[in-house]
Amino acid sequence: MLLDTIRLSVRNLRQRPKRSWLTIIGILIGVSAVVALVSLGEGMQQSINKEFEAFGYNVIMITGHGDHRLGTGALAGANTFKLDIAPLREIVGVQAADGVLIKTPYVSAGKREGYLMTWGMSSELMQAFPAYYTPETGRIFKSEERQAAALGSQVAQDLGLSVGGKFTIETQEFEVVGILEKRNDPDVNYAIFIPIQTMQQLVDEKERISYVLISTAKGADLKQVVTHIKHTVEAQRGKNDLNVHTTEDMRDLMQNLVGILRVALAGIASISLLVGGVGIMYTMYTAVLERTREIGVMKAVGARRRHILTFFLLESGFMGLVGGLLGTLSGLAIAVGIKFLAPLVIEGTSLEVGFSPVLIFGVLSFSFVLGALSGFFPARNAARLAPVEALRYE
Amino acid sequence: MIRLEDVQKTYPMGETQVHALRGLSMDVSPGEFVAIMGPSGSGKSTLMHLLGCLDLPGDGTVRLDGRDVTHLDEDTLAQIRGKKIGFVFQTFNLIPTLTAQENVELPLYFQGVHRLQRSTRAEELLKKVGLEERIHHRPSQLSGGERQRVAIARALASDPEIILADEPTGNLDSESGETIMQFLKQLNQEGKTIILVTHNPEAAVYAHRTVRIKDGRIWENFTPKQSVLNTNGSASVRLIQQEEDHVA
Repeated sequence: MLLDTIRLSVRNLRQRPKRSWLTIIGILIGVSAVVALVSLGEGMQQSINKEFEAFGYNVIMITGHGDHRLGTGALAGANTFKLDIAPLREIVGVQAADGVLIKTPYVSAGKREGYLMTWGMSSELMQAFPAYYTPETGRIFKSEERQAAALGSQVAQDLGLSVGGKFTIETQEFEVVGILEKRNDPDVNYAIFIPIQTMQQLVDEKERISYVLISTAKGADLKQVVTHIKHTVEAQRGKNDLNVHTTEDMRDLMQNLVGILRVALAGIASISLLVGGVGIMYTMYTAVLERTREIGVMKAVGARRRHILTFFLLESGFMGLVGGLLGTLSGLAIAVGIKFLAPLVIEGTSLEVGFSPVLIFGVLSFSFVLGALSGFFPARNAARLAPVEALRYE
Repeated sequence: MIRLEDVQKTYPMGETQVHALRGLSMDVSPGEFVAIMGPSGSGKSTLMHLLGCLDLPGDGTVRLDGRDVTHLDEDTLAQIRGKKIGFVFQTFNLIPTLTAQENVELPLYFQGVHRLQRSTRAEELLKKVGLEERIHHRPSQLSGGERQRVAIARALASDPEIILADEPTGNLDSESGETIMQFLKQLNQEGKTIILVTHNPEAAVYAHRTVRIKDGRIWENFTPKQSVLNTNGSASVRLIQQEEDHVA
């Protein structure tokens, strides 16, 4: 019985293909916008997670007050400060601790030049994050080396440098000893890494650092270590003027930001979905008007209200469902397209597409329900038509 | 079978009320072939709607098989129509998206009859009206006469006791019209009660009884002499015309 009704509804839609398709396109656009944005958002959160996992959740940072708490790169370290790191290394659970100094000095390699982000780091610190600072070719500089540099993959390409190549930062010459693997974190891909002592002297920031990076031993009680570090830092400086936080804090902060962005974007996209629903409503009102006489005939030969209601609800629901299905496909296609296009438009961006079955199932059922809901009032009008009035309708 | 008792019906038309029926009573007996005639605006259509349970009177009672249907809700009326009354309309009123067979199946569909039973019944009926070659055609692929035969088959689908035909020959050429009237006559002979609404005297002569409506009342209720019908059942218009003059 239901199958027959579905068959009839589909046939009615195919009877006016142009209008049905236009209505479906309305839903399609809304659904693709939602699916594309949500998938990209999901992918963004996944890749953030992946980056933080590579960096390790057992990491603690000390940054200057007023500094942005996000990221390890350009955003951190505008205000440099002095801190004696040695006592921190004594704290139980701390594996490695060292300062990092970030600046954008003048860099040149042959005819290529520019102000590029340069990180002063100790060899030990870099080696404490082997999964993050991984040489693709060559190696990380050794602790006794002073004029050696490791380059992010993108900066190496931009400067046209490979292992063994020479370039200049401000007044000093450096040799490339390694090029790092490409990461999803553009901070790394665009960075030049040199020994911190050379860096401090080069930019005239003697003993000063942008932040402290601390890695802890596996199984260490992170909270306890953080508390110890806070005490140590406060005792040393006589005041509580630095931030101590974990990677987990940072990840949560970023996830929250992306999450808010995602909800906001999906909300905006939902508006177009709503407009699609209004489109269905309009089409169904027209259909009811056009088929008034038909409704009268059906009622004359014994159709009850629920029969008429079901016919029209299925029709509108079906338009929603087809729109949802095609919209999901095109939304995913758009998301994948953006993933490939984004790095071409904005250098250094890297996006992931999160493919979530829950999302797809949700979108499909939502679009069917949206279609049926939009068709509800027109269908109810149709069902309530008096048979005599409907038969008389020209 | 159908009894109307002092039924009244008024419609609002702009500021005024139109009195379509002003206290009309009539009976239709089982197996009868009744023609309802009258000029346009006489209340003939309204009467047909009441007889077909498509509408309810403003006042008075409509009884179907002794049951007062005046206060039934729309869905119950729909069920009654579906089972007891078959409709044949002037404009055929087939569903354009459905094939001949599906149109015939429609009343059974609304009664929840199984698909196989429906299609068997529809084929059988289309064969009966001589359209076995046309069962998968859409209405647009059929001639007027053929469409009206599909409509007759549809009216018969749930084997109703009453066939209500509203100007069934109004949109047909005389030859097709003749065929349709022959079908109705045959159905009457098979025991169906036929109510024919028409202003065409040629069609009305097939009836056993003619009820003439004017200004919302029965103006004349008569049984024509047997001589009005000649042997092959076609009408003698002249004789009917004389009857009319006589009454006037």
